[in-house]
Amino acid sequence: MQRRVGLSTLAVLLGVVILAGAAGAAWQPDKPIEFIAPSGPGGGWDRTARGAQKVLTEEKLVPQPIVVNNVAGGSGAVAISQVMAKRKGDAHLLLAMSPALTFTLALGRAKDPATGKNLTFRDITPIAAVATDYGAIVVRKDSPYRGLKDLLEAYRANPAAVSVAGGSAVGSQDHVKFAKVVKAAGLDATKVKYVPFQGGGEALASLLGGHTVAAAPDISEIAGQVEAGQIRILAVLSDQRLGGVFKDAPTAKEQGVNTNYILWRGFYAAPGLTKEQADYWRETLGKMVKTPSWKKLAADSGWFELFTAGEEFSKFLDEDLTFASTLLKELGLLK
Amino acid sequence: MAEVFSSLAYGFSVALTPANLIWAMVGSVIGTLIGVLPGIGPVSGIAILIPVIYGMNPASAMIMLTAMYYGTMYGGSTTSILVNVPGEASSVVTTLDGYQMARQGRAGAALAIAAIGSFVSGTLSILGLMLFAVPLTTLALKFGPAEYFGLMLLGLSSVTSLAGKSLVKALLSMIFGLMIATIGVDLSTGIARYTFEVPQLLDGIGFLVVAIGLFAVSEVLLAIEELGQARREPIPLGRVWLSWREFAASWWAMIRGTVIGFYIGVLPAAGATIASFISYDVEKRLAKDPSTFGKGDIRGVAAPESANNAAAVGNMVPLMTLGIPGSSTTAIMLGALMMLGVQPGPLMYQKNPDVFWGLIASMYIGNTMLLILNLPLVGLWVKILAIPERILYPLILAVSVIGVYGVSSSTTDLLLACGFGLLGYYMRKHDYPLAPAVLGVVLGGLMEQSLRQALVLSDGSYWILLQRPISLVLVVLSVVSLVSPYLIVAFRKFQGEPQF
Repeated sequence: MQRRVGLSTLAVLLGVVILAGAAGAAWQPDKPIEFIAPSGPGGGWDRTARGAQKVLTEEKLVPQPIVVNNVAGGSGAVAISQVMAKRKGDAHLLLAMSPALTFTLALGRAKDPATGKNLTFRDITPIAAVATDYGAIVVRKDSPYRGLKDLLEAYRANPAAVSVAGGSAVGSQDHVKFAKVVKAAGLDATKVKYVPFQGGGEALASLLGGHTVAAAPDISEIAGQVEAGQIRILAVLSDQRLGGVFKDAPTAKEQGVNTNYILWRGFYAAPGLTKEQADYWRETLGKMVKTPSWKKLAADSGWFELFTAGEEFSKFLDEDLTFASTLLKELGLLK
Repeated sequence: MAEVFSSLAYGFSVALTPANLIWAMVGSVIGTLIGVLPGIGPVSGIAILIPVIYGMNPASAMIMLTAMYYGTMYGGSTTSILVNVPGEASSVVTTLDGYQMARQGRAGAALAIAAIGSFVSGTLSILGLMLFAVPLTTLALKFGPAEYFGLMLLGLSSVTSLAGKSLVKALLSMIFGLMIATIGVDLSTGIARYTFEVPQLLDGIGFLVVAIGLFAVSEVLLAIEELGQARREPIPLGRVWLSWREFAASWWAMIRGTVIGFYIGVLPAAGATIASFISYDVEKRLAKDPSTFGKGDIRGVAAPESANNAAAVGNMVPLMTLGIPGSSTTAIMLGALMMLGVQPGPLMYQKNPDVFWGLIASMYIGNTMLLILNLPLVGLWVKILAIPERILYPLILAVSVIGVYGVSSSTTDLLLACGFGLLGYYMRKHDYPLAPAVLGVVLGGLMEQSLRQALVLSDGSYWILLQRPISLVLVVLSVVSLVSPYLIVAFRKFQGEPQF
């Protein structure tokens, strides 16, 4: 008897859910929403979170106010471990992310507090990528290297002659950007002479000062220097040519090196969200990226248009993580 | 040259509109407040304002942000002088003589010289920025990893000037700071060091946490102990104003502080903190009687406070000429400029002359405003010392804790600050100076990185440090500076002169 009541209640509940879904009001935030920027104020994640907060609020795309909190540390490791420990199933929470998180996960820096196991993208709820930036390989304007081929030839002859400046640690973004290109060209990526700096600005200064031969920045960091003709882009790591000041910069693919480096910016949610809750956020962010104010904000930040959500995004993330882990193993940075 | 001045006149026409004057005022007031509050610094201040400025006219927004940045440099010295708690990293060295002056009833003079020094160095540095930005940038780019290593070494060698009774204790304190600086993900290998699987330690321990612990928490602990025993004498409020003699004594310290600070500020990877330490060191070495330093010598306040302001202006040079941020503060400003639709970089002065020249003109205006704002505040700040310590210190502690937690939302940082507080208490009880530990924390990371970058470039050969002329000079200077106290003593012994 008990059991039959339980089943029929469940049936009724399911019916309600289906009806509600059909009515288009599946789930909506019913209390204030929290966005977490897993970096300090002013960083890239902070700008993603605060930009989305601004556009979603101003365009009235969410029925509740949004607060942005900074939970900095360990390239996202601190925020993700907090979420795993305390916020499972909390649908009023989104966290900004980018490929930096891929490296945090690949290097095993984020662990499940309960089991001590390394986390993957399957342990959280990826929502969507809302914009993107691309990697680039650049040299100084007076460099003898005119194209990517020249630089790779020099690398083939003597890898130690091609010092590469980057604004992140060994085994993280800027290092991997260059290693990825080298690998795609069929050369030995373990020989890359990578010089890590504290931030892209210092890396660029070392390139301009002639202390390093090449650099692997993000496109958004170098618009000013490209425009002024101080640096030459040997390759943009996007699939197609970009517009604006970058319209003359060739892609790596055009030069026969089949690779890219997509610096997507997006959001993830806590694990344990219902499908309706996750879908709500995917749809809401999908509406957000179509608004003119988001487009302007993204362009002003030097970002390009990209929207991918759902299973497509999750699949992309899984591949990205596998690729990063494999490459880091090859580079001897991961056992 | 004439062109520069006509452009500047144009800049003033942008900056002197009533609306922009109000924005400069707002920035100055907020900046001073942020500077005064220990815990929050210019980086978080600007980040908090970024959502506010979005959609503003770019010139007005930047005028407000830079006024705020300089305001924090003015305000940073206040708590260093009054209560021995540095408001910013660049004001740590100000505690040495500033706090002693306050204990002698000369807090007013110390605060006044800090404000005047900031004004003089700010104004001169803006002139430097306007006239020599491009040649200075070229010179700054000559600084590669080897040169930065030399500069950091020189900065560390200033430890000899920070030593109180014992140089050995100062060195131990510095080494402790250097050890703290190794915590976190190592840039050169990507490996996490001394983090014990605690994710909060992956980025290392911030200066703020160390400084709040060592200075503020330990100060409270000492005050508690001494209150019980009624050993602590109340600080005499004394004569508030600066005497002409004190001003004259500080003049050259301010000028030297400006030159040192501005040049170090222009270097993309160095900054206000190292500038303040080096300028203090230089003043102490040049002084006829160095023993007055650390006991309330006004030059010990004038030099670092001028240097840190000059460095803040110098930081703007690579941002404005190259579009490269030289510090975390200018990195945020670069982000703000982009949000406002201005692409910082070599073409900024052509494409956005209103922003470029308006900014330079507004720096003059902001500096004057800050001086006018800060001098009357001196009287007000000094009154803080009249608050009974049993109320004042808990208040400072509360503000500091809010500052630490507000920026990182991390309870780990609070626990660490408590730990450093206990350590600071022990260090003070046993005459270990605190400033060298901060010096180690601030310079250690950059010094290690530069060394290892240099070694990557040279394929492992240490000769790179001596083969490049600038780094050779800097390394030699550091060695001389470290051993000179011993050499002088030995020399005097040899001459049979009386020893001090």
